[in-house]
Amino acid sequence: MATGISNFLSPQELHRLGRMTIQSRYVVEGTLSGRHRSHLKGASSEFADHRAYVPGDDPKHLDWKVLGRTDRYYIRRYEDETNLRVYLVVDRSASMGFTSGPVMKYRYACQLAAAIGYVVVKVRDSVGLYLYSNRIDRQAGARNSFAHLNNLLKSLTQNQPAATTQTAKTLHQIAEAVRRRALIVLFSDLLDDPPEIIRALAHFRKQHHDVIVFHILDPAELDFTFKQAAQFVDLETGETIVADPRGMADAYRKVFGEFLEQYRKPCAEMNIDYRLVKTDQDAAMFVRSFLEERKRLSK
Amino acid sequence: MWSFLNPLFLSALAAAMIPLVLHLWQRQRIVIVPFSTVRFLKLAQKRSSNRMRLENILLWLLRTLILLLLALAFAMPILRITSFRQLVGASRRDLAIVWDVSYSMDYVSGQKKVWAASRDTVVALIEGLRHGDRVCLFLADDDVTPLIEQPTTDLEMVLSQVRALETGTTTSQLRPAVLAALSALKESGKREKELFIITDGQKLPWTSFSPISGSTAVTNRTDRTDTTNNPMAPTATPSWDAKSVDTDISIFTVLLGVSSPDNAAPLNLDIQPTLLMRDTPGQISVDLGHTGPEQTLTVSLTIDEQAASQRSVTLGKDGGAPCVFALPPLTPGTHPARIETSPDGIALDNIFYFLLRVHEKLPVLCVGTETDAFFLLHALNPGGAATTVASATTVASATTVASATTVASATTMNVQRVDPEAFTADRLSDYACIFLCNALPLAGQAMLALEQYAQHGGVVVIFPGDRATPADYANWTCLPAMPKAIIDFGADAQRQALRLVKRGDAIFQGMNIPPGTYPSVAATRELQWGKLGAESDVVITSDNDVPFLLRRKAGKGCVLFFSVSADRRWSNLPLSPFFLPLVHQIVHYSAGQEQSEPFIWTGRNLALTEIMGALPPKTELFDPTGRPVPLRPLKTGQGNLLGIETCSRPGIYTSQSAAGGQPEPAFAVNVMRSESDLTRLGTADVPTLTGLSAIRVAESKDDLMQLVKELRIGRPLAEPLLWLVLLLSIAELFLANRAARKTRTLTEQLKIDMTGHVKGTAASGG
Repeated sequence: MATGISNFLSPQELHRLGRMTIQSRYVVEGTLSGRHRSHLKGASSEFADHRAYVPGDDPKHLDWKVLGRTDRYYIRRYEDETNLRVYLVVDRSASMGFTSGPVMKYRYACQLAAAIGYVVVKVRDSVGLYLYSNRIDRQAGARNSFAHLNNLLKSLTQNQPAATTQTAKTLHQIAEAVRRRALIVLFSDLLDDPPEIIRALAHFRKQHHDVIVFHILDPAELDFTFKQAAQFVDLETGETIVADPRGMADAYRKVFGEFLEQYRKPCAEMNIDYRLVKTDQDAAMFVRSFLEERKRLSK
Repeated sequence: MWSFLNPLFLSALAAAMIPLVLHLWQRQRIVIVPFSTVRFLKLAQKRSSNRMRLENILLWLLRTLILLLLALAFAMPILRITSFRQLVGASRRDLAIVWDVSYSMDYVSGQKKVWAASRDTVVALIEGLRHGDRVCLFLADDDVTPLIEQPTTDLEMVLSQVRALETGTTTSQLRPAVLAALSALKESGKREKELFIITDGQKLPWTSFSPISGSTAVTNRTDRTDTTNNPMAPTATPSWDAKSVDTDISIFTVLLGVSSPDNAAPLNLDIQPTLLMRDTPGQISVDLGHTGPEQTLTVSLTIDEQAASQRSVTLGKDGGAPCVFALPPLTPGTHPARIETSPDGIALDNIFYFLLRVHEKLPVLCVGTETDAFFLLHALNPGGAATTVASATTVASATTVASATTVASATTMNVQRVDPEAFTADRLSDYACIFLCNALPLAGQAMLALEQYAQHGGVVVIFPGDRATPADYANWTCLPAMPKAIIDFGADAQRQALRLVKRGDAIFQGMNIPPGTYPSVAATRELQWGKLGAESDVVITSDNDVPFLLRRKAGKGCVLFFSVSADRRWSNLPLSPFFLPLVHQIVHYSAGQEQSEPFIWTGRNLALTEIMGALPPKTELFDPTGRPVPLRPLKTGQGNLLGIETCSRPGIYTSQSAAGGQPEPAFAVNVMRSESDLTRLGTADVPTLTGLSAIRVAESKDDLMQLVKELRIGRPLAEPLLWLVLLLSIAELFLANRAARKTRTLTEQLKIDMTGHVKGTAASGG
């Protein structure tokens, strides 16, 4: 086992994940034959449709039975089956460096990415990576080897949270970069302008990508359970505010709840798989539950 | 007007700065917490800043106030109400104490003795005075008895008098005593003035303050003296006006009695028949009164110190009940008797004393010649008039011996006759009734004696005759009507039906006249009447409502005047079957009029002649304990009378003539039973009844002393301040925790499952 993945998942967790698969809910576009449906028609046993014969077509694709019954030339077309290309898009902005417990949000995102990547490579699908902050810091094309996965994970480890975030702009760039239909898995706290991010996610959907959003949040961010008045310092901008958490917890929850709602509903409308993930739950177990549910729903 | 017992603690007021200092100190050492983004915090702070600021200010105020009040409480502040007076030098104090000494103060319930408690209270009040303070003491009985009339600084003397004092036997009226005390305090100048009313909480003494009972004269049932000229008579008390009470006087009252008193007593009695004759049965009806819960009472009758009868009576809650005893036949004479109830809270009112006066024969005097009185004498002695006319005379007065005869009645009368010329005014009171049969005109002295006899309860019956003309009646002042003329019918005499104007009249009580039947009389001559006088009425009329028998009330007695003579010369009345029962009835009626009361109430200035008639010279009177009772002349409306200044001891009083012999029962005295009603007064009723809204009411000595302390020293405010601190602390705790109260977290609201699905909404939960 490569050293990269072992930073994030234990052998037992890898063993459990080994039996899992990740399915795209839409047709995808890959370079290899695989278990995923492709929009291309090719050599496959799965009949797709007929089209009229035009000169130049290979006569072996003629449907002789149709020709015998109708005296017309039709070409039989079959659905292509291809492999899945999964792009892991990981946010490494400074806000991902926040933690109120043992696990930093960025570290948690990496664990999720490792688990998803392992499952993808295990079934011989390809995995790629986009690591971004206020720009794309690292990108790697989709390949279906563990060595590639390890390299991706190593680069995640080497890059720690820093700088500000420009998620929307970066996602637009990624959407433009990924030309073929793929599965885009976003790991971020989405602490940016929600309408802009939604537009960026819509961009992915326009490109016929299947999108999964893992909205990673620390429990303290969600519930604001601080006990003492303190000076809070923004990890990205350095702004400060003195606040008494006990007095304003209610208001904070309302504000944050509204913020979450700005993602949840549009994602549901765009058929984007939106998942809210708290860093206090076991990452491998979460991935396993998530994959099982996704598999169940895709049947 | 504040002062502090621990002023050093006032420096702790600086502790009020602690919340502010803590706030500033915490701002300096504030913790820096890195957070993913502060934009939500800014938004939240913007939304909740106003509320938070208000809550914080409130909390700061509360905490500051709590510390301030704590420091104040430990400094023991005293609110000095009278400090202003102290500033102007009015530090000395005059105390007036009104002490209820009615017999209800003797109430004992278990260990609680009301009188002892009241004495302790008075002693404590006096002992609480400082050097230079003065005190005066008024006893509230049925009037006011000033024990210390003018404020004195000799507190030891007052205390010795207080300790020696016992309760009286009278009822109580607080109004006269309170007015006397207020009057005494008027002379106090700039001194602090305090009035204390020490009583048992009984409602009765307070009713004297109400406008209904606010008469200008003291009403005392047994005080019959002329109050205008008699220095011994109780002074007239002005009516109560709460507005005229000096507002500088601090008035306190303490209601020391038990909250649920229990007392029963015989209130009054009625003896029937009024005139008791030898071996004649009768009955005594006793009214029992009761304060308290329902109970069964044993009531016993004792005559001549011999138990005569006993009854068991159940009395309802705060109610009364009658109790009837059969009176056994008694021998002639005066028999001391008493009604006694079971022991209870007040012992004094459990015994009701009275006298049973049993007569053997009623003494009757006829003034008239033998001829004129012939029919009357025979009517009064129907059995043996012919045989018992004695030539030897035994008239009591030596001066009337000359031509007087005694007719010993076989029945119930001892009839004596005297000629008009021999009639004198001596010993008229020995007779139950005096008949004048054609006796006028009489000498002026004799006429005055007869009028006085009637005033004292005797009955004078006048039969006219030929000796007198209408002018001879002109000098009489007690006649029911003045005769205008004598009408002579001659041979035209006709039978006239007589009609009883009121069949239920006391004169006819016991007469059996069948309804619808009328006696008749044929008159040849009769008096013609003038206008009816004051307090006069017609008892019997003849035809056409012509008065036949007239009556005039004169003092305690009366004068009866027939329109025809007692012999046959004017009418056939003496031969009428109606004549005999009528004259007998008049004699019995007269005896009832003259009959002394079976008992009297305790009181002052009692004229003996009104109680027991004229006394032989040098007669001595003894109280129930056997001590001689001093007799002194009382000036009444009827002249100088011998009387008792104060008759306060209940029981049987005896008299002994100068000749010696055994003392005879003279009269029975009972305590006024209005005092037996122990209905309790509520503390809230005192200001209402007195009209004094500023009166301070206590229910025990300790309560009173606390009120006094609050007035004199001031009201300690440490305890209420600490209570306030407690309340404010609770409010602070509530407010502080309200800010930090546990609400549903966003995780709970969103209901995030294991796969990251959000099933709830923040809006629904928030």
